Amino acid sequence: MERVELDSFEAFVAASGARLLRLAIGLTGDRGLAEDLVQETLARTFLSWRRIRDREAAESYARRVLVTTHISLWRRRRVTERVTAELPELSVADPYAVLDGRDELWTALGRLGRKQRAVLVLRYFEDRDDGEIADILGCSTSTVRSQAARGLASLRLLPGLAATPMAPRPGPPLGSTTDRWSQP
Amino acid sequence: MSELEDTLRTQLHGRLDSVDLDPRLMAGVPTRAARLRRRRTALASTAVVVVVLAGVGAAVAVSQLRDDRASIGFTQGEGGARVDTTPGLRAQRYADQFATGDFDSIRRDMTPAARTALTVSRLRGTWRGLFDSGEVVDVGEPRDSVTDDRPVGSAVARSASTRAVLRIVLDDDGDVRSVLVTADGDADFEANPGVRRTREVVAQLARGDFNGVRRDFDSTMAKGLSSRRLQQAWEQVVAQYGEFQRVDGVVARLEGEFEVVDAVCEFAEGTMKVRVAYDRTERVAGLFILVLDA
Repeated sequence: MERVELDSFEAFVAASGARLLRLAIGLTGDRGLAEDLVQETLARTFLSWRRIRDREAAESYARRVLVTTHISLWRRRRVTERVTAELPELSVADPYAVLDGRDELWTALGRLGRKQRAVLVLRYFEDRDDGEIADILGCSTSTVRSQAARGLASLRLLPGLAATPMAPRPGPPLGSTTDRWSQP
Repeated sequence: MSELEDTLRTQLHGRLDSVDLDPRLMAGVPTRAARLRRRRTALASTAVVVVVLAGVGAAVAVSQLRDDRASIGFTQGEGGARVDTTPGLRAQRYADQFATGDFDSIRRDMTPAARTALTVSRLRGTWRGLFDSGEVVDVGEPRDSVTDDRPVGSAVARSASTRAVLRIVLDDDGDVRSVLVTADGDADFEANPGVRRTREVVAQLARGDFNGVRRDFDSTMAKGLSSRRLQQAWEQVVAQYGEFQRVDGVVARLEGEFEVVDAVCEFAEGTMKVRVAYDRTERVAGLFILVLDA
């Protein structure tokens, strides 16, 4: 890449990098993962930089790359997931969590499906309308609306945001009864 | 706006607005980009477009791909059509188009190399070779998966006597880089007994046929996992994640002497993975329902 191109790319990163990182944290819930995601996104954008003639649209391009890369990374991770013999316990109400509603809401956001979370972050953090979100995610606006509705419905189960508090729910006791392949 | 939406907006901004990018992150970008370029080149040099003819059973290597094309905004094809659906829905749309004799629209969404290799006459010949005994009466079952880090979509087309799978592989820009059309009998992955049985296990769990799930259990599993316990476990999953929706994809692999098949299952409120392990006699030696790390 020529020096001029590199300079313009670095200027793009300086202008847009923080916004991409905020979105990435919103999607992943973790700063380290988010930085990795942003660097991967920037690397992919870097490879296409010469062909991106409309530099005003570069951030939109990078945003799409970021979201789709996040989804593909998620898919790769799920294939390599460690085998465990028991389903981890889930959603056990923490009596102290209500003292910090922000953390609880953040944690609950992390339990949503990837698309639900992306839709909510794009809608309520980036203030994007359903058409823009559909464009970014590569789906229909009706899918965006249904994912948002489901995500919000899940969040409403949080104590303090629902009419009835969420009851503790231990995870189901699942797993192989044979130990031949159930070792992590 | 509801109180929850208002709270969500406030809290997202409260948590994220002050985040700033570490400038050192940029330093690693050129190196990472170079690594990515090498990986893409390696993949491109080995990829082929294949069309499998019904009854022939042999893959015809049409051309090697070397595609450097990229475009901004995930527009694709000469017509600049938007990528507005999932890969599975796109495969379904192409199958619909094939069924109506339109073999050209898909080519507008192809990479240049694929467009060169897959002419209208080749696509038409393959399709009509499959459905020579009758017209397509139904197109459906769109599915999404990932192969070699690339999005894959598939859909099923049926005539009165034939069932065929159309599978597309997309590149990073959403362009179609390969098309695979197989008769049902040639779809070796889906014909794999473990894959078929795992899909059946999920269907049995979803409809509450827990005795059916236990049908192929080996003796250890049969002793240790009763129908009642299986039912309790499934009901707890449904209580946590909502009603079962569909199987999102299936991945199979060998681990030692066992074949392990994962079915990624979408529920109304999340995604879980049903994992079934088969021994050499195709008996079920392990059954797991696993959460997915987000």
